[in-house]
Amino acid sequence: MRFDSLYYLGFLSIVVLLYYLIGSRFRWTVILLASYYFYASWKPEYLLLIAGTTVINYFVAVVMARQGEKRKRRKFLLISLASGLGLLFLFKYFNFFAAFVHELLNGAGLLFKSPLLNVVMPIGISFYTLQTIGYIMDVYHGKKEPEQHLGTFAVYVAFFPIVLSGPIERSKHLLPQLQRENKIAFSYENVSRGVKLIILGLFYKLVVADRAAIYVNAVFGNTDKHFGLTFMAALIFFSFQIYCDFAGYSSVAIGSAKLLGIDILPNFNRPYLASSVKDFWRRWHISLSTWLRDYVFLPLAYSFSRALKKERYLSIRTDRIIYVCAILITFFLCGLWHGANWTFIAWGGLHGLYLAVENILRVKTRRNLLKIGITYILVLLTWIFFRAASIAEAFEILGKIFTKPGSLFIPPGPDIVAPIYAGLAILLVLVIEFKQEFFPSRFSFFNNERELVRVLSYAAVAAMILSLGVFDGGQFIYSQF
Amino acid sequence: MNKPIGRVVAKSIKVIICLFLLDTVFGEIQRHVFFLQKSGKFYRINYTMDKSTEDLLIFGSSHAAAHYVPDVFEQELGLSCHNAGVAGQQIIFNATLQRIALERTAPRMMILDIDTYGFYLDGYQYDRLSDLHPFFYKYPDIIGKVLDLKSRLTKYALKSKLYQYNSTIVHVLRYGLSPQKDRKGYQATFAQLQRPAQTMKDGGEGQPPPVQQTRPFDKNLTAALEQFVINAKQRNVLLVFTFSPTLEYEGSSAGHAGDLIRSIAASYGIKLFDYINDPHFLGRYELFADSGHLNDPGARLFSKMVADKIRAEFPEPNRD
Repeated sequence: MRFDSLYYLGFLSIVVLLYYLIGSRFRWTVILLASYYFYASWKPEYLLLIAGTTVINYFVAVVMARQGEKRKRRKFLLISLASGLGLLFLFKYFNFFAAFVHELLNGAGLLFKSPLLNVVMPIGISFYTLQTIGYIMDVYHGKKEPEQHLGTFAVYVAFFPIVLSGPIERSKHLLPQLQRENKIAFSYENVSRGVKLIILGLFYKLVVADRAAIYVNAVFGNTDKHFGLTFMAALIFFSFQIYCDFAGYSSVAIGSAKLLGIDILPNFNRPYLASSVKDFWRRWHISLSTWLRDYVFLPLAYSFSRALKKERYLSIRTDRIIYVCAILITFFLCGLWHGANWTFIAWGGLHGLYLAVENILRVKTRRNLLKIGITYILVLLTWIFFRAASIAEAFEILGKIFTKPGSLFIPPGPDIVAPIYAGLAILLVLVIEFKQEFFPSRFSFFNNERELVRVLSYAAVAAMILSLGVFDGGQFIYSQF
Repeated sequence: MNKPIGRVVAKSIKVIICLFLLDTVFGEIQRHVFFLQKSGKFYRINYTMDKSTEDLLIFGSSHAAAHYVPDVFEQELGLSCHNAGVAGQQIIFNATLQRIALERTAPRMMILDIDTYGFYLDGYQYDRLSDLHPFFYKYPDIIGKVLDLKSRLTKYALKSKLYQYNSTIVHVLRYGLSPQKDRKGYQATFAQLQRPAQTMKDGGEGQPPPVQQTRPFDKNLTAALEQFVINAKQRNVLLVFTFSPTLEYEGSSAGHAGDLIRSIAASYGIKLFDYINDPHFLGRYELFADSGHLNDPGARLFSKMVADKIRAEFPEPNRD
């Protein structure tokens, strides 16, 4: 059941209705059943996996919290990490590493038959695994009391608006909202905000992302036939495709939860108006970047700082060495998290490199248009690796961009309409985001003081979706991660 | 709780009324300009459905649209001809288009150019049925049944006029501002494909790529092909299947699906003209506009060959 389908809108309406009709003590049952039904609509077998993850982490957290010493608690932490990361490795990375080892050994003349697994990666596993790891780490560090109610914890792991592609929630933020004692009343504000976010999310996905995808797929599907100018155009389209696809998804997710009176962490904040790469990561996939900061970067930096006692090494300040090492490892893992492919690792590595260089050069995030432009171009270059099928293809595209501009590919006949629509839609997104960034209190439509303008805004965006949306487009990109 | 519910209901009603008004006004405008089109894909579909009276109708995808020159058939066979090929469309769409046309007219002959890759279970044909949305209310029974194959909700979504004409406005503007030359449905391409240093697929001369692996067929698609035959037979229309020429060698003449189509043709007594791997076109870059489509000289040569074959197989197809 896709977020951009009529089935989902019907499903959501029924869930919201039941949720408010039933007493607050039993609302978790409504959400849990709805979440498991939603998840099972993709592949019922994998319900066992998510249920198993829930049970393991629930009991590990409860038992771990009873242990006084941190040393004893660590044992339980390792059980949880081994089960979560083990499953993730098995489903997502095993074949990648097996092929890598196979290539290495073959290169060294050792013939070895690679044991490949014939499994389909369970949808959402990367997201709910990080969410449960975050919870276990919080309990381990004593930042969060373990959740005592198994049903509430099961909702935390499988909450349907976020189970497929996030935003990756934090236990301290989401769990208290799901507890039975939390009596959420039906409110006009929640419904109004939720509907607005869902409509805007669908606009981003159906009108912008899926429209841009048509040109992007036409170009990246035939890389040998295209040249530099075409790749530049396709890359710009791709940058908005992936942004609007994922931001659109996040918006629908946050809006759906809002209808139930539940706040979800924001995931995007106009990332292409960032004035440095550091600023970009404050605005792009915020729930992942803050998760990585808290559970990977800071622990790494802390352990490095304990290991490196001197003030300088090779005349370089130790704090700088620590930052560079920790950020490179963090973004290597960030890339790997996105997918078992060297292209994602290169994408993450490049972002880590940018951040390291910015730190060394002490780049300030004071905003101006030149910095925004430079940041966008730097980010654009990384998207080549993200979109290309292989590292070799990414370098081929890079080479063509810098050495073989060629002519711009314009789709023949009626296919020309796709890039025209996409270009206009991207322009509209830029205008909206520019206005939100630089004139937040002016020209407001959805929050206009006149009711007619507010009502017309909702209706006009819905009409644009009906008139211009691509209803046969593909799945949300991040659901494959 | 009543107060917020009342506010939500009141606001929802206002939004729905506004949306209904926008949908009606802009949908009507779109409908009006849509059916004013005089060229372009949708005009050609509309023409085939509502106006075609020619003796020979040619159906198929972009291969049909680009490979069959009506003037050549008219000259060679003495039959008036319209090319009803639609880019991106395969058998389900073509069977629907044929059925709608046959409600009104009975041509003497039909050619169905078949893409052998269009019978597998991959779902893309259903997505492209949206080309039928603007015509749904003209032929609700025929089109409705076809759209049900994709989703039973589509008919309800088509209550929205804006959705019916979704994404057509730029198309209308494009062909309104720069109309296509009318070639009786034929989509001529005058570009010429450059011969690469080495062919990409086969890695060298004389090395055919491996035959396609066996994949499951979509039963709806094979049923649509059979329906196409039955429709033609019911109206006593002479029907011919064709496989278009290819630039590069295709193993076993399009493999698995080719066999299926051949068996369907044989079971209904339909002639199939197979030009896959035809030596007149194989490796002849000067006859192709791109790796999959003939250019105008290629299309004229091919049309002449098909017409000659029709004449040989059916000595006087234009006679009553």
